Formats: sequence, structure tokens, C-alpha cells
Amino acid sequence: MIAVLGRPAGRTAVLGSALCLALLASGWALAFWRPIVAADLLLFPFLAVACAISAALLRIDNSRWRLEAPFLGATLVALGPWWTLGFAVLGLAAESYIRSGRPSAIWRKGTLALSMACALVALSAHLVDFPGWVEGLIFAVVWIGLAQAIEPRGLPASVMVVATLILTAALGAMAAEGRWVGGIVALAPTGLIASIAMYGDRTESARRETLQALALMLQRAHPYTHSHLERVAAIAEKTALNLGLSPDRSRLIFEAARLHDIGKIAVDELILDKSGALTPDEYEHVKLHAPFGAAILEEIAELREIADWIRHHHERPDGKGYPHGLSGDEIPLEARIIAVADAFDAMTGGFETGEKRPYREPMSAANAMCEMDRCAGTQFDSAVVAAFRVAVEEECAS
Amino acid sequence: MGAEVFWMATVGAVAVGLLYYRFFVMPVHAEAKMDDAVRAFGRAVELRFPNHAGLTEVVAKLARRVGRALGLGPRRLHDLDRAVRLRDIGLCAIPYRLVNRRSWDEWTMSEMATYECHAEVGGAILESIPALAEHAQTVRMHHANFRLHRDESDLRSPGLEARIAKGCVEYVWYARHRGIDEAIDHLRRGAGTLFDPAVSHEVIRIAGAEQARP
Repeated sequence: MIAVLGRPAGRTAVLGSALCLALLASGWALAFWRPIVAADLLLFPFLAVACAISAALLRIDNSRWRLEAPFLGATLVALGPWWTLGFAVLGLAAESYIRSGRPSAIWRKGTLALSMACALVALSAHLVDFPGWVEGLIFAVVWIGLAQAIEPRGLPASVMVVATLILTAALGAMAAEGRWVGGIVALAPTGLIASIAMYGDRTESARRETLQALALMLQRAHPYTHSHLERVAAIAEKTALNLGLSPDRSRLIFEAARLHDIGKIAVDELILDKSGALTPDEYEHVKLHAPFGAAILEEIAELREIADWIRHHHERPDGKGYPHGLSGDEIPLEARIIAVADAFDAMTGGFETGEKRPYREPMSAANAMCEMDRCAGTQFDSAVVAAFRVAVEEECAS
Repeated sequence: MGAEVFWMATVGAVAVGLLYYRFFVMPVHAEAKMDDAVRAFGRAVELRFPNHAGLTEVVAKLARRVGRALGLGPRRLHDLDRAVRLRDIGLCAIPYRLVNRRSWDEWTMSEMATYECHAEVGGAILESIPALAEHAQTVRMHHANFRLHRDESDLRSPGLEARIAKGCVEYVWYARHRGIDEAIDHLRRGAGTLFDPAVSHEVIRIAGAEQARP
């Protein structure tokens, strides 16, 4: 139950269930008994709870599955398998079209959806009663328009789901009573939800692009680092998953590992590329890349947590690291993971490419792992090394 | 009828909430995130070249004042500010020791040419980032001489934002290293060749007003 409540969709489903129970108790729900309203208000919350619980138990972290599955389930019960299949296909087609990358496509699709809805409702208004298939089609149009909105972007998922429930319930209620003007009005805010989702996507793209610009700056200053960062990020993410961290957390570690050397922008490249041993002053200069990296990322509010991991990615469990000499659990776990991945790649230069560092010949993966086992507990966290070994073996096997 | 009113009122409330969020809350959040990123770039440059520390804020403030005086609207002032803050992103490609170990007075012609490449590098970096590509041309041209200017629509010609950036950057740089009087003299002598005369005039006027302030 705690896992369910910990997720936005879970909390919404519990809230929705409580709401529908209250409606049933008050007798209001019976006044709106139509398949679409039944599917939307009554079945969805219960199915959403079931999906959220199973997602938590199975460790499925796909928000789309958690939210779309209840919709499809409710439709299956209310309207039957063929309409459910139709909605699923329409939804997939709309998703792939919307994700073709052209924002204007969403507006065209949204306008088309609205036009279809108006035409359908107007046609139905001439009938004595709404047939179930008409309500199903209207529901499909609304669902397509909201398909993007189901992703938790721009608004919290719970708010999206509640807004969806209210709008589709209103639409169903209006359509069932033949109030086609009301139905069109109820449909209108779906365009806003799609707009919010689209804006959220654009903001997220802009965020990724600015991080890419930072990485490009580093690449201009130190060209050899790019592939190193990609390899470290990939293996760090796998190590985090092996340690039992959630996929979201592991993805964050991936992002952090890609930026862990960003502070090297401020380091003299001639020192970094020096082939011989560094003097004490040169070593002190290079060590600055850790706090420099943190200083750069701290300017970005949502990266402040990552900044801390980058600041400490050269700390050691035995306290002999830098910049602050932290030890043991004082070092964030994420920083310990990045430290292991970084050191391994520095020793090997990658599994296949064997890129040479200017100051050392690359080792084989086996020798590097032996070195890491030898330093486990002192330079590297033992548990992280164990999880890292599994990740390396999987990588070598693939 | 009561039920219909209830549903329409609920839909209306949801719509108003969504409208407010979409057009008033989201743009502010998005802008704040972009401002954060631009500050991060500036911080990276200042860490690489400590003698650039604090320069960007001073140049940005002066550029906004000059832009306002030359009639730029809010949107263009915002773009000018952003371009000024991103102008030195290309410095990451300039050798560390060139700027940190040698005074710019000691640079050879070749070293000066290397340094001036940072404008083109910065423009190229920004062009590859769709969210920032609109500032690429201004960044590319922020050291271009006024005598290159032909037409506002000519891509080889520095736009007004680039001309403002050049005037402000060079004024602040000279003021920091050689004094305000020499900075003003540099802008006055370069008006029409290095600098847009209108930009030169405004920078000198604003700088003079700052100096006269008690």
C-alpha cells in the first residue's frame, strides 16, 4: 500500500475510488449510468489501484502502462473487446504520429479530433438515444487527444488523471442526455491538456539540449573525454540497477556520470594531457575539477543534487580522497558508483577501443577488475565493486 | 438541469485552472530553467578564465541599458541579454594558458586570431542546440567590426544586438584593464569603423552618467 501511495497514479486511484464510493452512496452515480461514465468514474479507479499495486510488486516503472492499462481495462468491461482493440490501435497510431517530432502535428491532430467529436455529437443529437458505439467513438477521440497528456510532463500525473476523469465524465454525462453543446464544451479543455503536455515536452527538450551544450563545451576543451563519459555513464547506470536502485534513480546517475568531468572545462588541458607524472602543484590543479564541476551544475536548480555527487566522485571510503576527505557512508552512494565506473574506464580506456591515456597504457578488463577488487574497501566501496563486477560481466557477455 | 449546471461548472473550473497553469505558470518555470542553464555556462567560462569573473554581469547590465536607449522592445532586450551571457561559450576552445598565463598585450597576431575564433566556436555550439540556436548569429558576430555591416537582413552583417554586445564588451574590458577614460576614448575613436556610431554614443553617454553619479 505504501508503494501504491508513493506513486502519483496510485494516490489518484485511491482518491478516485473514494470519490466514486461517495457518489454511489449518495445515489448520484445511478443518475449518470452510461457505459462511458461507468467505465470512466467507476471502473477506472479500481483498475488503477490494481495496476499500481502490480506495478509496484513487479517493479514496473512505466507511467504509461500504469495509466493506460486502467483506461483500456475499463473500456473492455464497459464496451467490449472490439472497441478496446480499436482504441488501443487508434491510441498507438496517434502516439507514433504525435511523436514524429513536429509540434504542429499535435495541433492538427487535436483540431481534427475536435472536429470529429463535434460532427459525431451533432449526428447523434438527431437520434433518440446515444448508441453505445457513438459514446465509444467520442471516448476514443478524447482519449487520443489526451494520450500525450497521460505522460507526467508539465503537470503532475495525478492532476492530469483527475482532469481527464472530470472531463470525460462530463462529456459522457452531456452526451448521454443529448446535450451536444455541453459535450463539445466539455471536450474543449482536452486541447489545453495536450498543449500543456506539448509545452512540457519542449521544456524537457530544452533542458536536455542545454546539458548537451555543456558537454559540447567540455568536448571542445578536452576532445578525448566524450567517449569516456558515455562509457562511464552506461556502466554506472547498470551498476546502480544491480545495487537495487530504482530505474529513475539509475537514470539520474547516468546523467550525472555524463557530466562528472564537466569541471575539467576549467583545467589546463596541457596538464591533463601531460604524458609524465604530475608535479604536486599540477595535481592540486587537476583535483579542482571535482569542486569546479559542482560549482557549474549548482547554477541549475534541478541539478543541485547531481552537483553534490560530482563534487564527491573522487572521495574514497578510507577518507584519503578529495576534495573533502569524506569516508564511508559520508560519501553519497551515487558518487561511489561514479567513482568505480570512472576508475575502471580510466584503467581500461573502454572494453573495445582501448583508448590510451597520455600517462598510462590501457589495462585489460580482467586486470582492471583485479585491481578494483584489491582496492575494495579502501579506494572503492566493496558493495559497489561487487555490483560493478556483475555489470562488467554482463557487458562482456553481450 | 441541475446536473448539467454542475458538470458545466466543473468543466469550467478545470478549464480555468489549466489555462492559468499553461499560460502563466509554465512559461515562468521554463524561462527560469533556461536562465539557470545560461548562468551555468557563464560560470564555466569564469572558472576556466578567472580574469573574466564578474565581466558578464557588468556587460549584460550595460547592454540592456544601451538596448533600451536604442529602442529595443522587451523581447529583443531579453534576447540581447541572453546572447551577451552566452557570448563567451566558445572560450572553452581557447588554450587555457593563452588567457591565464599571458597578458593580452603580449599576444602575437596569431594568438589574437586564435582568441577571436571563440566567437565562431560559440556560434557553432549554439547552432547545434535548437533551444539556443536563435542566439548563434549574435554570438558569432559579437566581435565583428561595424565596417562589415551592410544590411540588417544580411547574415554576414552583425545585427544590432551583436553591435551592442561588441560596444559594451570592449568598453567594459578597456575600463577594467586601462581605465574608464581610455575606454571612452577607444569607443570614440572606433565609432563608424569598429563600432556602430549609435551604440558608441549611447555607451559613452551612459558611462559618463555613471561616472558623474556621486
